[in-house]
Parts: sequence; structure tokens; C-alpha cells
Amino acid sequence: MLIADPGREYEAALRLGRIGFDHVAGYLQNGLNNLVERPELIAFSERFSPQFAAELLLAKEPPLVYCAGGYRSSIVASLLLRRGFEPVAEIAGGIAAWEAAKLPLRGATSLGK
Amino acid sequence: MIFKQFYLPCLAHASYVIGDEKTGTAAVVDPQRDTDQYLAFATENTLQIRHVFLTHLHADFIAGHLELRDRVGATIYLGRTAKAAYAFSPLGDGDILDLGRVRLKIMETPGHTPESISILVYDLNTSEARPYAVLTGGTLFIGDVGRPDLRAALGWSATELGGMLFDSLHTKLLGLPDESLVYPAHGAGSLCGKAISKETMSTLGEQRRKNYALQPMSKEAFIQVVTADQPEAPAYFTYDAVLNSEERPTLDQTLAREMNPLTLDALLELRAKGAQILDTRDPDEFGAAHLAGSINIGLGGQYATWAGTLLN
Repeated sequence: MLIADPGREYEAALRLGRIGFDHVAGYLQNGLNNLVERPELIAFSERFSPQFAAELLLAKEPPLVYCAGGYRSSIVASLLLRRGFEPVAEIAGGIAAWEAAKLPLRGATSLGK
Repeated sequence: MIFKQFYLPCLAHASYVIGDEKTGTAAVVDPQRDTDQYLAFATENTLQIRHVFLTHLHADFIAGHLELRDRVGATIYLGRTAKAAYAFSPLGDGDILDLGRVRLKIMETPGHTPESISILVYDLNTSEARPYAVLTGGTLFIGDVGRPDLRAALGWSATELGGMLFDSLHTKLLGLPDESLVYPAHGAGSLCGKAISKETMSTLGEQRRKNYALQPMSKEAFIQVVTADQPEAPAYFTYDAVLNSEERPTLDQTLAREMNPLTLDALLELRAKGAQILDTRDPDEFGAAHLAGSINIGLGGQYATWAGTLLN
């Protein structure tokens, strides 16, 4: 079942159809507005700025999920949350944002590929 | 001659419309399953799509051959060793299809898959002997070649396919003139190779010089090099490769069935029965608040690839 920004439900189903995923049962009408009345169903993942994430790392806070740009880390964060891991935190904008904020990286000096 | 490449960045997939403006006849090669853009292009250019070619039975997307067959009556063509449940015209080495003064000639180039073909395109007004371009499907990419390890589940070992790929490249494709334009089915980001360039076209001469997989080496060394370090292939690849050989509902039929607005309670009921919830919004919005238990794969990235990898 799909949850999408209003007006993008068709596109979401279409792009699944392109790879032969034909099992969409439907989409949530009115999207996340439904959750206004049902706060107990809401979950979230903190996406911290690189600077704040750096401070968390120094304080050895719970593990951060990150990737190159912040797209894939959200996929993983959602999988972790679904499995019951809490809390989950990410770096907003990923390593690209970390590098842009001139925070230190060890090892490779750039993202390479 | 009318020649147009369509490129879908989300799946790194290239498809083509080739036509003859005098006869008004066109062929589509490796179409996406959503075929509106080809029909619109044909209408704008006063062409009728009569032929649809699949260079191979794709693993990473579902092609629109059945859609074009049903919408405009196009004939489907596959390499002659392909097996499919729908009617198709099998093509072998040297087979020719003339669209008028535009000639399409087939080269069997197995390796990425056993039934792979490449399509030589001749503008007969320019030359009958030297092709304008070669559509190399999954056999040769810009900067890479089609990985031979995707058919193990269907009984074809990487060693066997790798050997066939070596022969296809060295005894067939590399014999073409340097100035032949090379147009593949996949670009950078595709999981069908490991080093595919961001360019979506090249020349044979440039590939001969720069493509790591085309450099002189023994067949054994080649097989090693093209089977090493390949990205993990998602589970949906085998599913799609098989589905491309079967009859199935068209995209329009599928979408009509799927576009059902659901209330939250209806959605929660279906979830209790095992349905997965996919939130397609931007990661920043998902992070801020989402329905507990939903997976995020945003429309703004490689949505289809990740959905195919993670959803049941």
C-alpha cells in the first residue's frame, strides 16, 4: 500500500509497474493528514545536521545511520524502526553534507564513486 | 531516418524509436512498460509503430512489448533462441528488416543473456555497407559489458555466458567500423554492470580504445574480469527476466486495478493481514513523522530499484 504526497500516488504505482511490481492494493487517501487524529501511530527518525551529529559522535550517543546523501539512510532507518530498534538517528544530507560542513573524515579523502 | 533515444535515469534504461519518414514506419527497441512517450513521439513525427524489438529478456525492468502489441498492433521480435509464451518473430544473424530506406540488421550477441541480439542500423541513403549505429542491448555498454552472472538461477553459469560474451564481442561487435555509433540499453547506475559510464552513447572506436573489458586478453582472463566485483543483483531480477517472457496484464490494466483510495482503518486492516506499507515521500518528511511500521523509499531517488530489492 502506498503513502505519497498528494497527486503523486499514480506516479508511485506506475514506477513500481515498470519493474513488474503489480501488487499495489491502494493508496492512503489524504496521506499523512490521517495521523493528526492518531498520534499513537506516528513514528519518526531524527535527521540531525552534520554539526549536531558530530557532537553526538563525540558524546558516543546512539549509532547514526548515514549514507552518501541521505536517501538510502532513510530506507535503512525505516527498516530498523520497523524491527523495533529505537531511537534511530541519521545525518541529514549524509556524508555529502558532512563534507560540505568541513567536518573531518578518516580514510578516503573524498567519496570517490 | 528518424532516430531517437529515450533515457530513464531512475532505472538507467535507454530505449529507442527508429523510423523512416518517407514510409512512416517505425520500430521501438527495448521500450519501457509505460509506452505513452513512444506513441506521442510517433504521432508528432507522423510515424506508425509497427515493430517492437527486445534485445534481450530484461531482468531489471518489464518491457512494454505487450503494451505496444495491444495498443497499436506491433509485431514483437526477439533473438531466435528466446523462449516466450507470447507470439514473436525470432531473429538470427544477418536477418534484415527494412523500414523503407532505414535497414535494421540483426547480430546474435549472446553473453549477458543467451538470447541477446544487437541491432545494426543502416541509413541506406548514406551507406549500405557501413552502419550508422549499433544498438548493443545488454551486450556492450559505454565503458563496460553486460555482466554474465544473472542467469545462474535459470541454468546458465557465468563461465558459460562469459565465454559466449567474449566471442560475441571479439568475433562480431569489434569487427564493426570505428565510427559506428554505439547505443546500449543501460547507463550508469544500472546493476547490469559495474563500471558503466554516465555517457549514453559512444563510438565503437572509442570503446575499443577505452573500455576495460574490450582490451586484449584471453577468454579466461576476460571471464575472471567480468565476473569479479559485480554489484549484488536484487532478487527481483530473476522474477523480471521470467515475466518478460510471459503473458501478463498490461500496465493500464494493472494501474486501473491498483489505484484504490484507502481509509486509514482499511489500510491498517490490510496491514494486519501482512500487506506492506511503502511511504514514497521525501526522507526529510518521513523522518519528521510517518506511519509507524512503514518503509521509506522516496520517489526522488532510485525508487524502483530499491522497491524491487526490499519489497516482497
